[in-house]
Amino acid sequence: MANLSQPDGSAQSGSFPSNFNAGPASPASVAATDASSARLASSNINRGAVASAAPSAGSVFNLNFISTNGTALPTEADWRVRISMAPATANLFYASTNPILGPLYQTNGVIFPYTPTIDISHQARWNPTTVTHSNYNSYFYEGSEVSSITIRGEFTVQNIQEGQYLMAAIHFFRSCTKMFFGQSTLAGTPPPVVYLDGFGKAYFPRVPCVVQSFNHQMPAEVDYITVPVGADLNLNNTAGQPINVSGYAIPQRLPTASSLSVTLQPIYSRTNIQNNFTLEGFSRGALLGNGFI
Amino acid sequence: MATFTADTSTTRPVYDRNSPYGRTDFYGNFLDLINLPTIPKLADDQFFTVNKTYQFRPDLLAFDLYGDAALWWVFAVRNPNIIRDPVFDMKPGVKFFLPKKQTITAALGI
Repeated sequence: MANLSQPDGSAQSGSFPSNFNAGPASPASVAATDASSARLASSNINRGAVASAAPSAGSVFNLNFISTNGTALPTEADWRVRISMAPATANLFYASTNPILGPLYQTNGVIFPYTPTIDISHQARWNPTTVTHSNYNSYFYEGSEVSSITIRGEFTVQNIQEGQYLMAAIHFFRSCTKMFFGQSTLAGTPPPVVYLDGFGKAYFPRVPCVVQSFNHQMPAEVDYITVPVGADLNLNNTAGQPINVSGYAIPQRLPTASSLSVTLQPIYSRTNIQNNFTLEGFSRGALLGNGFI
Repeated sequence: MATFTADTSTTRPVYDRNSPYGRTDFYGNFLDLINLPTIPKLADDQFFTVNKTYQFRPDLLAFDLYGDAALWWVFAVRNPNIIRDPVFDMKPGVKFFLPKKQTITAALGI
């Protein structure tokens, strides 16, 4: 049997090396694979000649909101529906170092990859008063309000990156329904305020809201795939190869298609209303910067 | 009339399945016409442009991609219209498709 010498000096005979996989290399093979990895990385190809995880077929996420000509657009120019936090609060939740919410750092909050269905209603309460011997009721104004906003969107998971993003979104909304408690330095603080943007500044002008309810459906009729959650996004795992989830991530089964709905209640501080709100200003759009809708 | 008889008295070399001669038959001590395996052309095979790193080095590319330098010849088999000479056609700028490791594993039975 012919003994074939490899570039790293090892002998090989007719089969792939047992330690040849996409996962972390064993210490003995680090020196050899490092040189290989460097050559492959500089040539923009992956070990095994497989496609990268992120740009694999069907990927719907455009995490950095790249325009059609390839330039990255600022977050403010993004028309997608986004639920985010104030910067200081965001550091407590989806900081880049947060192992599970970290994917949200790239998009500054949760974005809905597909256009979600949104229900929003504005109400003026006019109380009817029945007047004796009258053909019509009399109506007296009581107050106005913006009812809770219901957002229902679809999420698909076709690769690791999308799976990690879905899990991050779920965990984010879970977190937003809970208060600071116990031994936390912020104990007693209610659940955080989130901000709703989308479709441009006129429709949702960074509306301050609280999360009233959150619902995610795990459907029975779709496939589930394994996604390493809590891992660095720069995984060596690539499409078409088994995911190595041991040791550096939590293996999580996620549905390839699922729906997520969240109910947000717009909420404004009394100071903001008292000092800034005028109907004249509101009607000409001058208060969009204060988040009034 | 004399007839040709193959000499089977000497030991023949054995080619592994990762060799281009792995499927080629012997006629006596001589290799028959080469019988290259077919490597399926898949729609999601990656397109690769040769750079200076891999210039004239299909063995290095095979080692980096598949962990086996003996598979240097698979690129020429996968891209017969682009790579005629498996070594010296690997010039910078030449573009061809890379067969996936799984494809080669299945095709060669290794």
